[in-house]
Amino acid sequence: MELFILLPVSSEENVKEIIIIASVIFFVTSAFLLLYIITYNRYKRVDFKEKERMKLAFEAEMLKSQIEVQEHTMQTIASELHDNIGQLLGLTSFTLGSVAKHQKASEQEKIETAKALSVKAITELRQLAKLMQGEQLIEMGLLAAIEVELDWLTRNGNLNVTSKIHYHAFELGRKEKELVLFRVLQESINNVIKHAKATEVHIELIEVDHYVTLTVSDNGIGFNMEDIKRKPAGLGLGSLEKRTKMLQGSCKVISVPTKGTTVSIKMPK
Amino acid sequence: MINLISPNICIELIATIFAYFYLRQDKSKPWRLFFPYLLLVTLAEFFARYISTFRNESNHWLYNIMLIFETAMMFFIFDRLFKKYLNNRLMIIFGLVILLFAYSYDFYQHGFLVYNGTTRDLLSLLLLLYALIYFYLFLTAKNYVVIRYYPPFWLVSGILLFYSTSTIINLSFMKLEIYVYQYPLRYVIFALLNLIFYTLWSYSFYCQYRQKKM
Repeated sequence: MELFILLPVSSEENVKEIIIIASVIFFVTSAFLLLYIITYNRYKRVDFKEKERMKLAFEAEMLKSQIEVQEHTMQTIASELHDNIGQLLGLTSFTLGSVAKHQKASEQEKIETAKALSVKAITELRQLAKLMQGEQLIEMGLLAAIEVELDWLTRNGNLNVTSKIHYHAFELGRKEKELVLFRVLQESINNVIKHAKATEVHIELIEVDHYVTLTVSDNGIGFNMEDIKRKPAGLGLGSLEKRTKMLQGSCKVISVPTKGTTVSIKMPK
Repeated sequence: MINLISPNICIELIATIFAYFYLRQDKSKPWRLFFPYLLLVTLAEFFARYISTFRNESNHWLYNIMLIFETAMMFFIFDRLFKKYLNNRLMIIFGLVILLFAYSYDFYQHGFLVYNGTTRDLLSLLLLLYALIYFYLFLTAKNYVVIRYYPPFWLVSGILLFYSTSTIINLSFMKLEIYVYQYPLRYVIFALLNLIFYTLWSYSFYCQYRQKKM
């Protein structure tokens, strides 16, 4: 300010006093601003962590609901397949059987083939229904469910299936974890059948200390991990990871083109 | 001519240039007001110096007029800042009423040709209070931003630093006759405060410009 003032003379002590007070005020204000910035950033970090935690909790809830709906849908479809379509195919087979008796030899052969196909379809349908009824399978226990799965895989694929199982039932009494492990196994096998073009698949279910590890490895064509990270939905890998994380487990997928793939899930007991 | 351009005027001129370059095309009307306000302040300081240096006359009346513009601008800034957090303008209106009484009191006491020190001191105290209230509202709003580049924060910081220290200087009735490089000590202190004040304001203009660019 260019204020024009005629000033009275002041003593040096007074001048010093004023300067000291003004300096103290200035530095206190500056310190206040610095402290304010630090406090603000600290509040910001805490708020961010809280929001992240809430987001994760929400996502876990959403995923849990999604899985519940999925399981319920699969149960319904499985029942429908078994009850309705299975019956229709049974009737078809029976009808073909009754027609065949009164036909010429060449036509009889065709009818017998059609009958065999419908019987095969019924068998496949029953297996599929059984596999879709995950919860019902898990009622028998994870080991029994895996045996059913491996049995189906051996009979229906061109795969050489080997397994190594050292496992007792989950002590925590939660079927949830067994069901997740089973679904992960199914998803991995599904990927092997659809994408891997493998001839061998090895399944391990090992219990060590406080963890259970499920590993599914094949000798198929493998894939580029970077490509799949960009689009994980095609192999259901994102879903595997989310399901495992939801139950405090971890999921590792290792794949090298032409050298096969290994999916490994580790879950606390 | 050189005598007319003091360190204070240089600082204010630089801040005006910053306001022109960073805010002239800002979409927000309040921010665009900074340039005309700072231009007015610079011209007023220039004219005040002319009156005191070349005509050797009192320039208090000019500062009494500038006090009105300064009050209007500062209250406008805080009104806009508080709008985000509060539903009413009671605080602002209350402050304006107090200043109106103070201005009238000063005018009644000594007329228009003597500087309105009481109004000035009250303005400083009110602005300090508003700055602290703003910081409190900003912290508790939980709408967190990158504070380093948040324009209103630096605007209010400049106000807080300037008015807290200048209040003490103004409130002390020991006007400082001691000369430092041919300038009164009081003048030197205010020049330093102005430097800090306008630097922070210029930085806030830059932050505003940066925000709009992004």
